[in-house]
Amino acid sequence: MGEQAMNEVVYTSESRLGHPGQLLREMLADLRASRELAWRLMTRNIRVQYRRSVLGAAWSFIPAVATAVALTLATKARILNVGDTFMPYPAYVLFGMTLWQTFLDALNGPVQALAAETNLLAKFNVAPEAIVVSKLGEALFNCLVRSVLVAAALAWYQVPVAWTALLAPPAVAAMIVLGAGMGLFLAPLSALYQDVSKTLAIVTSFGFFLTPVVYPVPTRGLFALLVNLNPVTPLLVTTRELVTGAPLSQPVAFAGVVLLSVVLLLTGWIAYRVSMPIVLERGRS
Amino acid sequence: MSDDLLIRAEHVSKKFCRKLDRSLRYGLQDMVHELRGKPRQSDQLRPDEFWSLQDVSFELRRGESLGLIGRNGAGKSTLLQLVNGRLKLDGGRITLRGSTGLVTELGAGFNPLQTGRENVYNSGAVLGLSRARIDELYGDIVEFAELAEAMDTPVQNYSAGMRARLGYAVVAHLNPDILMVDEVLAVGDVAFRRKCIQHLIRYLRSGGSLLLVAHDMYALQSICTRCLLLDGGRVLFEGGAVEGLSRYYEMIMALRAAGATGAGAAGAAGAVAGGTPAAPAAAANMLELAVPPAFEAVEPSEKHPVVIDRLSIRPANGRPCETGSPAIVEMRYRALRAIDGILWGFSIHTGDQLTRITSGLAGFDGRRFALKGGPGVLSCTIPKLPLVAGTYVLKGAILDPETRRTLVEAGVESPPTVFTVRSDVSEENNIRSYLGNLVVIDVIWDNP
Repeated sequence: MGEQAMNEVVYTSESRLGHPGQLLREMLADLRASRELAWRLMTRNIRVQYRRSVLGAAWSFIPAVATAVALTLATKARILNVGDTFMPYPAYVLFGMTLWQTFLDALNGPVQALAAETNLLAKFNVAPEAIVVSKLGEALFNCLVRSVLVAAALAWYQVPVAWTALLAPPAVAAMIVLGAGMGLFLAPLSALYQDVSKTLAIVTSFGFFLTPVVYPVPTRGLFALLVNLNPVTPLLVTTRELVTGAPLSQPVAFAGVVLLSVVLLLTGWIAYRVSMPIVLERGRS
Repeated sequence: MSDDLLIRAEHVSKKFCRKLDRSLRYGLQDMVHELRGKPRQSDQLRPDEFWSLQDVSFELRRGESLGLIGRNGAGKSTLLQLVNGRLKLDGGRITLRGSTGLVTELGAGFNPLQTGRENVYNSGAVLGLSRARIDELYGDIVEFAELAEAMDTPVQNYSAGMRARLGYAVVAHLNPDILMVDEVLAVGDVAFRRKCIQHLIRYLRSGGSLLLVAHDMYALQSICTRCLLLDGGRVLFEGGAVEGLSRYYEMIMALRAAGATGAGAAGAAGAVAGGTPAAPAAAANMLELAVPPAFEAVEPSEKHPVVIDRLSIRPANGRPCETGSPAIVEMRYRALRAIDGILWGFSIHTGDQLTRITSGLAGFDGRRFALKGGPGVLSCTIPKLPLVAGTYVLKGAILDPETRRTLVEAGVESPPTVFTVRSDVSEENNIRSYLGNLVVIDVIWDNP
């Protein structure tokens, strides 16, 4: 106690953005300081999640398998016709669902983390970054569990995997960055108004149909335009192509979305950070 | 800031909103303000807002302990939240040096499905301890909590007391520069509470600094040297803990009495705010409250041969009524004619009038008292007023000599006389007030 150099902290009513340098230094310091707690929160959440469950971690891919089975049956019965998917349809769906679910986990991560841990943040000197990092860690963990299934499905259907698959993890990371960036903007608003999370649920279920998860990228019409305007599309498509070694169909869009994602993440982080005292004051249930 | 000054709070203000829908809208406005880098419009209240803290200043040095006292909603917890940096100020400035730790709602952060051991590690991480550091402290924590047997049991099977013990044990081993404790000394059994208090005293001796909110006045007096009395978000008193608590009780008693008789609560709080207890201004304020409201002038008649104009109690030496000093009770009356052989008396009640503490009765021992025709005075002296500091109610009556029925009463259908008793500022007197004692008795203690 007191041996280390004592740093002085000043609290006033001014906006934190008035001292951007100081704010950024604090953000980085808190991010570093939150590693240990983020890890503990993540392991706690993962353990507790399955403590009262027999099937345990299998629950992270059972929904994707169920969807794949249902859609495969639908295409076999010719109720659904999705066109050429350049790999057996069940593998295509499982792969797509895994990527989409990872994006969703990253998007919902900050919103859910803040909703669940407002009291923790309000009472302890916890860096607000910690709860978000732990949720993103959870998203990554679930993604890894599902990847095992995807790998098994690719092997089962004898889909050739190219060396470029080694570049897939950074592409998946870009998807997490995009989701987290959007989530960080939404989290403080969602802590104030429940309308935000309800709207988010509707928008994401709509988004599922505007993303080439269970169908190949359309080429014609208004639908094709909408799908191609969706920022998740280039990330998802490129990840699939990297794994199978197919030529990249959207390299420019991919680079653009990656850049956008990084900018979103940084600005979202700042917005999340400076709104935190307001959330803790008014958004506690 | 000098090296041993750990907290300097200057003119700190904080406002809250009463209504949720408005509060959320203001939250959105404030977020926009923050993001545009503009200072908030925080010196004025928007509709439905109120000041939770206003113009609060204090300092805390290394090794010092400051108690925060006041009624619920006085702003104590808000002040801790502001110092802890979780809420944003609406005005003023807080400068902090060193690490802070806030202890509140013990064990609230525990996950019920996880074992005591897992929860210790989680809380440690929440409080900023590294895994290696928790490994080091784990044995001490379990020993302090006295839960060695229960550490592998899920916390949902713990009793509330066990949870609180484990929660406190983790925090007790944190050793921040500034420890803030919000109302946690009320949990657990007596032995554990004592342990917590001893821990806080040890922490202070080892150079820690403490901000303590406690309704356990024993704890507060034994731990804190100074205190801040808050009411309605403002500082009413800053100074020694013993004196501060005595002010606090005065305020509570005055408010209770004011509530019972419908007098203004603001006056009671104001009475405590001014000067030291011996200061004339404060005394005058208290006495003003004690002046009985004017009785309705009723003329004596055949049906009511005597009326009481005024019933009062005043100290014999002219200062406010004090525990253990003489006081004079006086009943001014007007009688239709002279009445011989009456009985008369007075009774003293608690400020809320729910308890009749004691009474003085004249004429039952054979001595004869008489009323003169016209105005007159009945009076008596209480040689040593046995009342603990507080606000009380005085009532009186005159009885018919033959039927022993009441001829006239004061304070039953008419407003009673409210009066305040002071006592020396001492720890002993604070404990009496805290425990709800009403009277003081003479005790001769044998030497051991």
